[in-house]
Amino acid sequence: MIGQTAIIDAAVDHNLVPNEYFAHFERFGAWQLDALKQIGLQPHHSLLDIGCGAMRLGLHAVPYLSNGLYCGMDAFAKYVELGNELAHVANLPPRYRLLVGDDFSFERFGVQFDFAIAQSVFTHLPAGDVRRCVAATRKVMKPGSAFIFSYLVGTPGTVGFLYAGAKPMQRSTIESESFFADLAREFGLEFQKPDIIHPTQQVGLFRYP
Amino acid sequence: MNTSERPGRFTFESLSIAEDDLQEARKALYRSTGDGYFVFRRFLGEEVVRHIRSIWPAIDPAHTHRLFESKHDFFPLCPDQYVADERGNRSFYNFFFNTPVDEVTWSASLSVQMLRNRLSGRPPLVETFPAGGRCASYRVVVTRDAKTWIGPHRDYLQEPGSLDRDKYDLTRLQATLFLSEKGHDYAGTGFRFERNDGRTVVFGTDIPMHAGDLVIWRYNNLHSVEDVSTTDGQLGFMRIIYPPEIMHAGPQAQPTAQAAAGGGAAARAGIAARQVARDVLSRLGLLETARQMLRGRRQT
Repeated sequence: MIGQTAIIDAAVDHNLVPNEYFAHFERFGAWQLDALKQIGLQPHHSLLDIGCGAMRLGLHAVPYLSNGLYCGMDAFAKYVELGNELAHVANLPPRYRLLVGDDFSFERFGVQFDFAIAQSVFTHLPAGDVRRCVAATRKVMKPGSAFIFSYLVGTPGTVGFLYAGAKPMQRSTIESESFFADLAREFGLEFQKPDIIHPTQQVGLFRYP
Repeated sequence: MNTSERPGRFTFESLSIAEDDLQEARKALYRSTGDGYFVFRRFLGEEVVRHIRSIWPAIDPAHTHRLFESKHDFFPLCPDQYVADERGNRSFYNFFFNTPVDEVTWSASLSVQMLRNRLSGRPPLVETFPAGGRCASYRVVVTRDAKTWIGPHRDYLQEPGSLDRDKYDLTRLQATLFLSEKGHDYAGTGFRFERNDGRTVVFGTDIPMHAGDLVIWRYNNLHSVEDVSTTDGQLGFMRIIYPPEIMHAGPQAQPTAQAAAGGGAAARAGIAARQVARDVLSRLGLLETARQMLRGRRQT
């Protein structure tokens, strides 16, 4: 694994500051892979990482997916650039693909996925975008697949914000868990609350029949 | 007569600090091979430095500030506060939300605050007004005689790995706006700082500093102010620092009646409800306990 100092140095070289994303990079990357394993991820599976950032999960998942594939998409181009660099530094095998995009065009990977994850993504999207994201997964998830995500319920004091002090974004304003149950009904999915503890957020799961 | 400026002359973007302009300083501040500090030479021009140096040593704080007792007295819309001792050392805890004693210091400090915020990846005016848990002060400090003004310590690194950003935050920066010069205004050590590589430097000795120079530095790194002395006629080690202070609950944390009148029925109802709650808690002898609980909640 790449150490925290090397990750922060690489981030700063991309003009990013060592915020909480980088301060807890290893910890949350490991948590993500562990959560995916708990819902059934195995080395031969294909994995979609929505909001992949700078390969926080990818650095753990690509070596694990020894016969599988990791695909990550993020709206923040700098993170994807940094992710490619970290993947190179970590000498990852070429079983990953990264794309920049904020339109949930997951079909660009040309892959049908066994698992998907969105960690701290729905916390940074308005409800309409969460709906569009779930709708987009419907096109790329295999029957029997699963999508795990973290979320927060309630309206924060500051809804619109400048991510990293520079990029305009919105925080989630989802008022109730029933929002996800409604989405599941709308898109023919099953919504579950897995028995997985997240350090700061809640965890939900969609299963695709 | 033109009634509009040509498009693009003044825009939100052009009036903001561009991300690309911050990269060099960020590398110096945060990279393991960087210094952990970055000096903005002549941040203040001579006229502004002269002005600020003429204001603070001369004012009678009893007329402009309240005597500082505790940081628990920092709350939204609290008065500016001061401490002074018999050795001639003085500190002025000023907040941006108050009418400034000196508009020049206030304006220059707002610029420092915006630059510091942007360098640390924050919106330019965050923690400038008491809208969240912390609010920066612009603390004017004149140290004339001190063996150890503030001993070596690190900030925001109390619990490495903690998810509490008050206890572990690698982005945090502090700023020191120098308003005096070692040798001319004071003697001794002054501001000592540990670089990212662990080597210690003393500003004004190892790194030449002039009045008007601004240093922005990593708050996690070991730092101290020590061994300052002056002779008669010398100003002392004068600088402004920008601590993001925790805002506690206080009597003026509530909207004023005037603000409530402008804020509509909901704000007026809120004030009325708080007054009723205070009265009830007071009658039960629980008011101070409730305040302490509220303070505790805001600190966590």
